[in-house]
Amino acid sequence: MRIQGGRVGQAVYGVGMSFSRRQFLTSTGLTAASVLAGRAGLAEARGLVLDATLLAVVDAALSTARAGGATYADVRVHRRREETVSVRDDHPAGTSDTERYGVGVRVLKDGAWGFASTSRVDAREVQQVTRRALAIAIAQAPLRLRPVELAPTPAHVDVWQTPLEKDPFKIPVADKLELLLAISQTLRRQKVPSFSECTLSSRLEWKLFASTEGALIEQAITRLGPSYAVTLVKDGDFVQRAWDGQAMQAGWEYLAASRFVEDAEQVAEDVREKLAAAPVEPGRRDLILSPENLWLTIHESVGHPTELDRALGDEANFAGTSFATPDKLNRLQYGAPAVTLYADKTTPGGLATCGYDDDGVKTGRWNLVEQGRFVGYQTTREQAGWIGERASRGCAYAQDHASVPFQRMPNVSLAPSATTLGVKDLIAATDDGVYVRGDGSWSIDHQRYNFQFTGQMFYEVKKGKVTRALRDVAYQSNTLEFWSACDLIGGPSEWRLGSAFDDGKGEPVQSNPVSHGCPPTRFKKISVLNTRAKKGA
Amino acid sequence: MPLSSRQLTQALKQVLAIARGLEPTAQVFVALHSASQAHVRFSRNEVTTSGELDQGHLEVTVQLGLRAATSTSNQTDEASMRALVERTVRLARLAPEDPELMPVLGPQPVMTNPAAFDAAIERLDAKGRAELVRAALEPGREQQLATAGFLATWSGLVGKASSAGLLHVHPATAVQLSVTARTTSGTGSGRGQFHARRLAGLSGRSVAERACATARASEGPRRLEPGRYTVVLEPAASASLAQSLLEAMDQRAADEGRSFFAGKVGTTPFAEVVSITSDPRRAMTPMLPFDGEGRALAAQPWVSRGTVSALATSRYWAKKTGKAPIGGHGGFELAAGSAPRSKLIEGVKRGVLISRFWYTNWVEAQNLLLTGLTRDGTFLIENGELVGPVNNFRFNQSVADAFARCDALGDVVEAAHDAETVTPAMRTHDFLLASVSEAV
Repeated sequence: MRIQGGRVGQAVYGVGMSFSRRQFLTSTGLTAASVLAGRAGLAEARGLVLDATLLAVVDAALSTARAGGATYADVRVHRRREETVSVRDDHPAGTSDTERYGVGVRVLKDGAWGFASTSRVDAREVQQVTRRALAIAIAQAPLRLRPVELAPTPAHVDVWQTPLEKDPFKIPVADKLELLLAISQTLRRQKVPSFSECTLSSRLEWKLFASTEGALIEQAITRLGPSYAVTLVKDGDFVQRAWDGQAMQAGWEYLAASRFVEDAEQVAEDVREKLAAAPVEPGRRDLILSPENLWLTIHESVGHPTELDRALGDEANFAGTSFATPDKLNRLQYGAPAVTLYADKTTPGGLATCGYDDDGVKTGRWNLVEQGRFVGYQTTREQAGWIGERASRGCAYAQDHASVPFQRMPNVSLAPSATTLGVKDLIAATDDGVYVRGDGSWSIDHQRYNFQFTGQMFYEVKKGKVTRALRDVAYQSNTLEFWSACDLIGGPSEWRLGSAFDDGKGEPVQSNPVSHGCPPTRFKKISVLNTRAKKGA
Repeated sequence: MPLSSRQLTQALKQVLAIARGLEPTAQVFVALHSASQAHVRFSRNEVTTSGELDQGHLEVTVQLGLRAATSTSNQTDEASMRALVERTVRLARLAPEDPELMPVLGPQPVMTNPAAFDAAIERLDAKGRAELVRAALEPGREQQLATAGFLATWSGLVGKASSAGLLHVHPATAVQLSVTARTTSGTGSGRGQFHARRLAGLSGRSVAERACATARASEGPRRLEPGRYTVVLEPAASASLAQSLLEAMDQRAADEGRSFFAGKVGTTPFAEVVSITSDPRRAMTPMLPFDGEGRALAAQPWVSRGTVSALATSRYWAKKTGKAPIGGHGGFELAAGSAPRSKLIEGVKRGVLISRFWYTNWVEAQNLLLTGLTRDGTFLIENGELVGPVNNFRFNQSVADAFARCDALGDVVEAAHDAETVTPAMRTHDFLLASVSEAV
């Protein structure tokens, strides 16, 4: 589920950007053997921050947990910073800078989890917090039916960070506001009343993870979320157009690659075209979806159903369960044979990309749907054994120091076809269709069958050509029907990432940033609705 | 450990003093809350995760003329607070002027709401929570149903202060327990929930039993075609619609012509049975007696017998348009009607009883078209009687039309959605259940 309001749009991902993550890992990665040699590992691993109290905090947590009889414990020192600058019409609409810092300790005792956290990062406080976590595990243990068991993983000692050229937090706020005010001015060059909202969010997540098994991992992740939208009002009617751009794990240089500023002219033109566009005639049509629309459909219809905890009922009281239950693994035909969907926590620029998850497991890539068949799940160390797998897929994540890590979505993407097909080719191949750009409203049921999405811009396609703009379009389908109707998948050249800054899951609900890549793709005969039809959509 | 009332007041004053030292003429607003939060999750009839956390949130806004910035942190030691204020002042000095900036509020009429706090919630420890959850696990284990659920408590202090003399410090608590039960066949599901500011009256067993009863009753649904139906909405479902409607009630958007509510204040777009009010002192949903900016809150009518009484109006928009500011309210109530629940169903020749909505989202702002799913118990009504469970649906329905066609409301209100909204069961007509959802 996506938390409304916190999300930004998406953009073309610059192919010219260089990511040297692999190189970075090679140069700093230490082997597990060095951990066994002693605590020297911390000093060697620390590449980003020097703080003498952290070693004491880590030791306090792990030694108190061991002394209290924990069979496993980990400690996470976690700092989040978010800076948001906003513009409304012709003036600033708020500048805010948010910081959260603290320690979370997780213990496994008598087969049950206990977790406690504090915002005071000092050794004595962390000792007390660890005792609270132990007391919680002891209180909950009698309410377990089966003991928690963790799949083995190597104890990594490493440093990982977002490859970036310019830290967005080092760019003056005044410069950011100036940029947004310029965009806003372009957006409002209409004769009829128009309203604009522009936002730029910079987020830093820094964390130090250590476990009783010897893991010691420091990570710094930088994410940038640019977005804007313009609303046009005329004769009691109004429409909105939001920029197609997307949030990205990247430095400030991403903005230059994203056409953030340049696109404002086109967005202003689009909203005028949208207001005057013809209402869509409902019916079954071939849909051509741009990556900036399809990413969200992938998120809801593939990303969430393949979460193992959800499939087994752990989310039944909130987000729901999944039709993709373990008895269907390697049996269920999820989509057309051309469809391969993969999970990847190493995709350059992906919001969920990192070196290690919050279980300390090294991240990787694997298939969820392979040539149309359902073949894989997202798991954590606790979950791997539930389906007989020996190793975790590395999907544990906690949004901050005060949150319990649990299974969260990696970047889930549609593999491009081995062709050179682009959106122009898809349009040329379509006789009667609707081309949808950008994301809008979204909703899917609690087992991930029935969904409905809108978009930003819609175009009628007749006999291989875009004939005119349309408006008030929604498409409604069922996950398996939809992916079975997928018949043309674009090639790698137009494969782009779309993203959710705040995907919500769990109780208490936690936010997870995640991206989804795909090329323009066609789906045959999907039900299209008119959202303003008098007799109902 | 969370801050005491004395410590929290001290921290508020300290932040103001630091800011005054840096920028004597600045207008400064400080909000600080400090709380203990605890939670237990369970699924498949056993506990999964459980945690405790200290929640602290310090927010500082510095205004220098029309230049402003806001910073927040969870660190409340003196050095961190000083760094936070310094950073905010730096940001404010560099900010372009915001013509919509309003001065911070001064002293407000002091009003406390003792009902917003319950010491019994503050005292509940890991063992006490485990005891509540043990009781909530029993019905599912006894009846061979799979139950999942969530218990959460919050206990803390909320403070607001300004350089103009505003100062509020108020304690508050909250507790929630929800349970979802599913049949082993995978075709029946039900939910029970308890939301309150007080612990009294919370029984883990009865919340779970309600979930189990609905799960059994909804097992093995028959196929019902999509279409327009008369629907009876249980309070959890009517609360979804009421909250969506309230979300859209904004004066500025209406005045700018980009809202269903454009030109609607004083008109009667809804049925006469529909009245919505908010009141922070309502006994079932006691709230803090001030809003996010520290402004004192009183009772507020929003919809009175179908007529739009007021739309939320920010202080800036109120000043610009010469109106009184309205907003930041809590403790909403869709007023009860006169129909016992059985009477709501008796009057229906053919219709659908809906327990709950899920994943609602706006589709169109202009006509207030909302989409979403039915969930946790959907039943066919024929000739005034419940016939049996049916499949779930996706709905595409104008919320405005649903309240316009409402002809009866139940005679009892419940806090079925959260601790801040109470609604009765509701009957309305021509409700578009647009397509079948196979989800259970």
